[in-house]
Amino acid sequence: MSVIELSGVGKTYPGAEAPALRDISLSIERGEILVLLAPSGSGKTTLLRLIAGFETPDRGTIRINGQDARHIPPAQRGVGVVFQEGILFPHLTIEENVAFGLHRLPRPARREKTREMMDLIGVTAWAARYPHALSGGQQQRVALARALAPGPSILLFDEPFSHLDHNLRAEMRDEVAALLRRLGSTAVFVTHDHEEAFAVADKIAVLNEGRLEQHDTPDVIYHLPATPFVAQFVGPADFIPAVAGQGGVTCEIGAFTGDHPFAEGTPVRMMVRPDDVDLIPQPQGAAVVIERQFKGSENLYTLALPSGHPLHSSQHSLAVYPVGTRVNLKLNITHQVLFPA
Amino acid sequence: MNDGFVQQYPMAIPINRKSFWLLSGVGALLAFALAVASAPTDGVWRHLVETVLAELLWNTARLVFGVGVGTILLGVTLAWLTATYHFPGRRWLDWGLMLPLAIPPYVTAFVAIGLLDFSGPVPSALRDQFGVPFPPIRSTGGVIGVMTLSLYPYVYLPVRGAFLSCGARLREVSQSLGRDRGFFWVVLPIARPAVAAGAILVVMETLADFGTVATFNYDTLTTAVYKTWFGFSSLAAAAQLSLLLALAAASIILIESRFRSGARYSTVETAPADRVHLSGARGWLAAGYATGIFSLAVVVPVGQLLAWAAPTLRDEWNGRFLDDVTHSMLIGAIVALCSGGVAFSLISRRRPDPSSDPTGMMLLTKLGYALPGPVLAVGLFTAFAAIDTIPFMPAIGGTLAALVIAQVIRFKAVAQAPISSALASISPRMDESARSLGVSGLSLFRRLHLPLASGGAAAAFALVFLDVMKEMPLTLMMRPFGWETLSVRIFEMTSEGQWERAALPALGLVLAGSPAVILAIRIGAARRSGR
Repeated sequence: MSVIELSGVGKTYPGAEAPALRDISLSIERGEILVLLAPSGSGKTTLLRLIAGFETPDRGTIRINGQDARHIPPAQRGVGVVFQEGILFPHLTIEENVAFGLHRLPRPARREKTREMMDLIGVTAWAARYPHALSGGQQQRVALARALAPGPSILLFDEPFSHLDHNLRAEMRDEVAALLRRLGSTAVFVTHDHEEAFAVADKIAVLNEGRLEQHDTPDVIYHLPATPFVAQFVGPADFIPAVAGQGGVTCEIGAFTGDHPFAEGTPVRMMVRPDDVDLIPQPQGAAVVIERQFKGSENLYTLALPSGHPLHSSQHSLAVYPVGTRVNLKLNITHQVLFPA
Repeated sequence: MNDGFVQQYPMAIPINRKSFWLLSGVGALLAFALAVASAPTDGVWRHLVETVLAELLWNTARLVFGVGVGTILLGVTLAWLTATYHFPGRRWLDWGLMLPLAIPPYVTAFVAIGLLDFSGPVPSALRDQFGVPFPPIRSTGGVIGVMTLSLYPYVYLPVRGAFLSCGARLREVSQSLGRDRGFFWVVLPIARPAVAAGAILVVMETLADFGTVATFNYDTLTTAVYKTWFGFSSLAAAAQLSLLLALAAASIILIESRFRSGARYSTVETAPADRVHLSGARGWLAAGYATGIFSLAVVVPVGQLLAWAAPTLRDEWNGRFLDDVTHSMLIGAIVALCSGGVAFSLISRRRPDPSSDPTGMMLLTKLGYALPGPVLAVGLFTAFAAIDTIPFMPAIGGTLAALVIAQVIRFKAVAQAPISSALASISPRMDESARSLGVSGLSLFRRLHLPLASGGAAAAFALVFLDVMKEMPLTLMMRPFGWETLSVRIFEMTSEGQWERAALPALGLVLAGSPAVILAIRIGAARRSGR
C-alpha cells in the first residue's frame, strides 16, 4: 500500500498569479525514497508542505496510509520534517531537542528512546550541549534524530544539505541515504541538485512550473527523459535537428535506428548527451573543436558540426585536442530520445 | 545595543494601507461615540470656547512643538556621541543616559520649581551674589526644558540603536567616497525612521502629560479635561474637550503610519563600526556635554529629592507611605501581568504568519496608548456608568477592577511591541518542526513560544510596570475612593506646593522603577547581541 498518495493536487497561493502546483498525482511506496527534483520556485517545497500539512491543497486529495489527510492536523500526521537549516529549538539541549516529540511516552521509555536515537545518528557526544555550540552539519544530524525519534511513517527533507559545504554535503547525503535504507524508512527529499537526486533516490519526480514532468527511476529519468526540460535539467544535453524516417532518424551526424512514434518525414530533435559522443581526430573530419573545458576528471569539448550546430563531447581527462582540431564523431546511442522540433 | 528597545515601544507595530483605513474608521467611531456622550451641553462648553479654548490650544501646540524639537536635538546628539566616539566616561554614560526613564517628568518638574522658582536657592543665590536675575522657571520655556530633559530618552534609545546597527562597512563606503564619517549623508538618513518613531512617542507623551503641566500650572487640553470635570463638575464639557484630544491622538497615529510607510530601508547587517577615540579637549568636551545632561536629568533631581526627604523621613516614613508603595507596585504588577497575557494571546494566535495585518484589536490598543489618561477616564467613566445601570450586575465604577481595566487599555500597546518582536524572531519553521513532532495548541505555546519569548515577556512586564507606576491622571480619576498610590500622593503634595513632603514618594517611585528600566535595557541589549 502506498504511504502517500496524491491525486490531482493543486495549490495557488493567495495573491499569486500562477498556481504553485497543478494537478499533481503520484504515490510513494513503503520504504521508498522519492526525490522531488526541480529548479527553485517550481513548487517542490510547496508539495512537501502539503504532505506535512503546513499548507492545504486547493484541489485534489492527499492520502496518508490510505486515510484522507484533509482533516488531519500536522501534529497528528506522523510526518517527520528536516528543514534546510536545522531549526533546532535554541532553548533546549541536544538531548531535549531529540526528546521533544516523545512527550507521549512515559519518562523512562522517553529517555531510553532518546538515547537510542542519539546513538543511532551519532549525536550522543553532544547530548548536553545547546544548538548554538554545534556546526551546521552537526545541527542537521540532530534535526534528523529529532525527526526520526517519534517513528514517523514518512520523513520529509527540504533541501537538507544545501547549507553545508561541498564535501560534507556528499558525505552526509550518502550517510543519510544508507541510514534510511537500513531503517526501511519512507522519505521524500526536495532538491534542485540532480547529482544529489541520483545519489539518494529510488524514484525521482521532476517538477517544472508546478507541473509533474516525469516520475520514474533515476536511470530512466536520465536516459529516457520524457520532456526536453527533464532532459536538460538532469544533465547536459544537446538537441540535434533530425528527420524521422521508417524505424529510425537521419541527421547530419548519421542515421540511427530505433522505434519512434513520429510519422515519416517529420522534423524532430534528437537528444545527445556528451558522454554518448566519442571523437576521433582526423584531418578530413566533419566537425571541429571550438572549445575545451578542463574539469579535472574529464575534458568537455564543444564541437561545431558542419551546419555550425554545437555539440558537446565528454572525453578522458588526458585526451587533449587543441582548438581547431578536425574530428570525426562516433555516437553510442543505445536509447534514442526524440522530441518534436 | 538597544535596537530591541526601539521595538519595545508601541510604534513598532507596522501599519499598511489597509490598516490605515481601518484606523481612520476606528477614530471616526470614537469621535462619534464621544460626541454622543457629550450631547447635553450646559453652558460650560460655551464658556470654555469664549474664554480659554484658544489659549489652551496655543499652549498645547507650542508645548508639543518645543518638546519635540528639544528631545530630537538632545536625543540625536547624545546618541551620535555615545554610538560613534569613545570619550572619558562613555561606557558608563551609555546606559546612564537612559535612566531618566525611571524619573517621572512631574518629579523633575517639582524639583525644578523647588530649586529655580523666584524664591528658590539658585535664583536667590544668583541675585544676591552676582546681581544676575534668573529667568522665571514657571514659563513655557521652563515646562519645555523640564519635559525635554525627562523625555529625550525616547529619542535617544531608538536613534542610538539605529546608529549602532548602521555598520562599519556602510561608513567605510561613505568615507571611501570622500564623505568624512558620513553623519549627514549616510547615518542620519538611515536613522530617520528611528528619529521619527522616537519623536512621535515624545509627542504622544507630551500631549498626554498631566503631572508636569499641572505642577507648573500650565494649562493644556489635558489638564483642562481634568479641571472641567473635577472643577466645574461638567462631564459633558470634559467629554467635548476629550473629543478634541482624541482627534489629535488619532491624527498623530495616522501621520505616524504615513511616515512609516514611506520610510522602509533594508537593514544592512554588518559589524558595528569601531568607535573613534576623542582625545584631549574634544574628549572632555563630549564627556562634559553628556555628563551635564545626565546631571540635570538624573543627579540633580535625585539629589534634591534626597535632600528634601532626609529631614522629613521620621515623619513621612509611616504606614501610609508603605501603603502607597504597596498599592503602586501592586497595580503596576497586576496591570503588567494582564497586559502581557492579553498581548501574548493576541499575538501568539496570529502565528505562524507574523507578517499578517495587525488586527483591529491591535490598532485599538495603539489608540489606547495615544489617548491621554483624562480622556480615557472620561470615556470609561461614561461606559462604566452605563454598565452599572444593568440590574444584578456588581458595580464596576470606582472599583479597583475599573482602574485595572483602564490601565490595561492605556498600556497594553506597550506590552505588545516587545512580545510581538520576540515572537517574530522565532522562525515559522520552528513552529512547523514542533507541530510535525506532534506538539500543537497550548502545549506549543508552553514548550516553544513562552520560553523563547521570555525575554520579550519580561521586557513587556518591566515597561508596563514602570508606566503604570508613573501614571498619574488615570489613577487619580479612576481609583477607588481613598485608595492612594505614590503618584496620587505626589499630586496631592505638589498641588499644595509641599515639595519636601512629595520627595519621599517620588524617591519611592524612582527606586521601584529603576530596576524595571535596567531590566528592559539589558533585555534590549541581549537581544541585539544575539542573546
